[in-house]
Amino acid sequence: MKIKFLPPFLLCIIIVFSCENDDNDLKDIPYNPQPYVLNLPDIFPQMEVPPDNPLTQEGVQLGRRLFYDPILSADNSMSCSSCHQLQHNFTDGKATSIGIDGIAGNRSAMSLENVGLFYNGIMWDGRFNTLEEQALEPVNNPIELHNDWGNVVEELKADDDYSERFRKAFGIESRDEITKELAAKAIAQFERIIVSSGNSRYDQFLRGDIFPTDSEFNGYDMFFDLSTDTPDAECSHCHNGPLLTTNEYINNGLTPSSDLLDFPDAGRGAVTEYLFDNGKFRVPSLRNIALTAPYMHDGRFQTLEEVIDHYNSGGHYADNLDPLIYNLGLTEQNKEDLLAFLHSLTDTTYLSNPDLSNPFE
Amino acid sequence: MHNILKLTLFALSGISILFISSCTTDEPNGTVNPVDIVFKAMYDDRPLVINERYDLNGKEITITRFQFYISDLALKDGNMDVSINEIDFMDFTQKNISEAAALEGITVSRASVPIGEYDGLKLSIGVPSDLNEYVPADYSSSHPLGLGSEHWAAWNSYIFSKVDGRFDTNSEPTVLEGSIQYHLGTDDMFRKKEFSELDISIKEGAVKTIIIEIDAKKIFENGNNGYLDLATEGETHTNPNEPGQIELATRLADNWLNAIMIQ
Ligand code: HEC
Ligand code: HEC
Repeated sequence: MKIKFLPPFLLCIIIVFSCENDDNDLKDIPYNPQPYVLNLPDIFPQMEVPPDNPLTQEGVQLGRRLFYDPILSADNSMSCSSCHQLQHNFTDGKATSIGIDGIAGNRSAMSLENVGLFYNGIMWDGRFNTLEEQALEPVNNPIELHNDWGNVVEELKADDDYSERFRKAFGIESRDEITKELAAKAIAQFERIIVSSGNSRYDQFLRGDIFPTDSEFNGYDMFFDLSTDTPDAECSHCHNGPLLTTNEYINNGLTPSSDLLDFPDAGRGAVTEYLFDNGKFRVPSLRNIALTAPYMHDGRFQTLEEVIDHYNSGGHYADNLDPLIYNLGLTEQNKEDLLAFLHSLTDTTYLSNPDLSNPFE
Repeated sequence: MHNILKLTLFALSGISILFISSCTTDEPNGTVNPVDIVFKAMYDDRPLVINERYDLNGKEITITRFQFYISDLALKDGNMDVSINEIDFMDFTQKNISEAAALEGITVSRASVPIGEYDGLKLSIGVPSDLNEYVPADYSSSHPLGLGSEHWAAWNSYIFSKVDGRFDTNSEPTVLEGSIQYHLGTDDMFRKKEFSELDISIKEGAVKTIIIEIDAKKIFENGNNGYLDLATEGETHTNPNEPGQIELATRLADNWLNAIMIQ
């Protein structure tokens, strides 16, 4: 009997010894993740978080570091936060983004405000379904961070602080278990806490706390086609609900094209490979829209005035031009009112959440 | 230790017995069969394909969006209803991208319908008033009522149906200048459809398939006077502040009832 038990016993000793000699071992660091409680405004939908990546304090804090850390780029010059800057409501303030090699892409950086709540695909063309999937892309993308995940993972493994944080967030037992997928999970957790605080003048008005100015109110009336006192501006049929988006893919008439094959950027069509989707892009949320110029998928409009002029013009024809886009016939006063309403969607209070700021500063 | 374990096991087996027996009383083995109800969108006698050109009263038109809610889908056996589905969103905009896809249709399935003879089928177009009090934020995004695009906060209603399209206004056919937009909502536009004197026999064996066709062309009918004049009757959002829109929406809601046929 005793002899039978001896070999496994010896084996255990060997394992214990070898572990003690291994710098990769993280088991001594306690793993006790604490849930991160999100406070969404009352009128918002619930956030649907993947069951295998619940929000934890440790995960969010790890994701926050990765998001701000230039370690993700080939030459240590850029991070996610270079194009998604807090002071620009998580955009870069440029028409189209420029990566580490100085090459400009053809799309404008999107705000990450409420990105965890967009359920019908993310990016202008919806090519990713989850934030976990998306977070893997910028690192390899030649016009963004132009790096290789293999390098990044090696650097993370060599870093004591990161190794400890991966252990605390995900319970890994050894540095060897650090993967790009875990890094992406942490980044996704951080992105999910980027949510509005629901304190814009529009929100306060909906709650009955304030009454808007006449101009804001007329703009609100036009935006939602509420009464016959003002012309219909049709906006809310695409920008509706608490996030002011239907999450659909629409051609809102920006680009002239002789037929459906002729769009310079096929947008949604390149993802679905369905001709009728060419030239369609995701309807963006309009929360904090006054903070995120330039506008549209290619940053073609510098100001909200130009955006309103576009909608008022009726846009360019295509077979898939949405029927809501037509010459609206708005007067200068109507346009000013609509603009006042768009400004009432501004709310920067959420940006002072200490969990959103750069942890390296 | 051992006693606790036994107790847990005992409790667990009790629960599973409860589960098993609740299943059997509901759907006794061998007395149910799966049923598929297939919805097909048509234009006249052709399958409806998004952005195809069709003729309406001598004018070329396209349909670029075709989607609606169905609710209370049930088979009828005399006065008894056997529910197939409470609520579903039929998105032919995404489905009917080719003739083959259009012919496939959208299937609503129920795995276990008691076998027997049924003489009717009913369904409603729209969201019933008790559900229409909710908003998409009350549901998960995968639920048919969780779609933010299908609700109007401004008039407190889901959008029961959307038909969008374009039509030609002159003799030059490459560009279809006119636009069509029929968006119906609010409780007054909810419509119930009932087919009676049917002979639906659910037997044990292969899946029973029932085909329902929706003829989009019938939505454009104007009573006995041919078809709607798209130039003046091409658009409604059922805006309660615009009586003309309500009047047109009401006619369209009635047309939807005629557009639904069972094969
Ligand atoms: C060089 C600039 C740049 C960098 C660096 C960058 N992004 Fe982006 N980001 C963009 C652009 C441009 C888009 C829109 C691209 C498109 O639609 O094709 C975008 C879109 C996104 C979106 C989609 C938002 C939405 O509403 O759909 C997410 C999420 C995102 N980025 C996260 C990240 C993360 C995480 C990182 C770091 C790993 C990162 N980005 C690094 C420029 C950048
Ligand atoms: C038919 C649907 C539709 C309607 C109606 C509509 N929009 Fe848009 N909106 C979109 C789409 C789609 C985009 C993105 C288009 C792109 O970049 O290609 C967009 C983009 C925008 C943007 C730029 C957002 C950004 O982050 O760059 C603003 C601002 C905007 N819309 C405001 C309005 C206003 C104001 C109205 C009413 C006058 C309106 N929209 C009506 C679909 C619509």
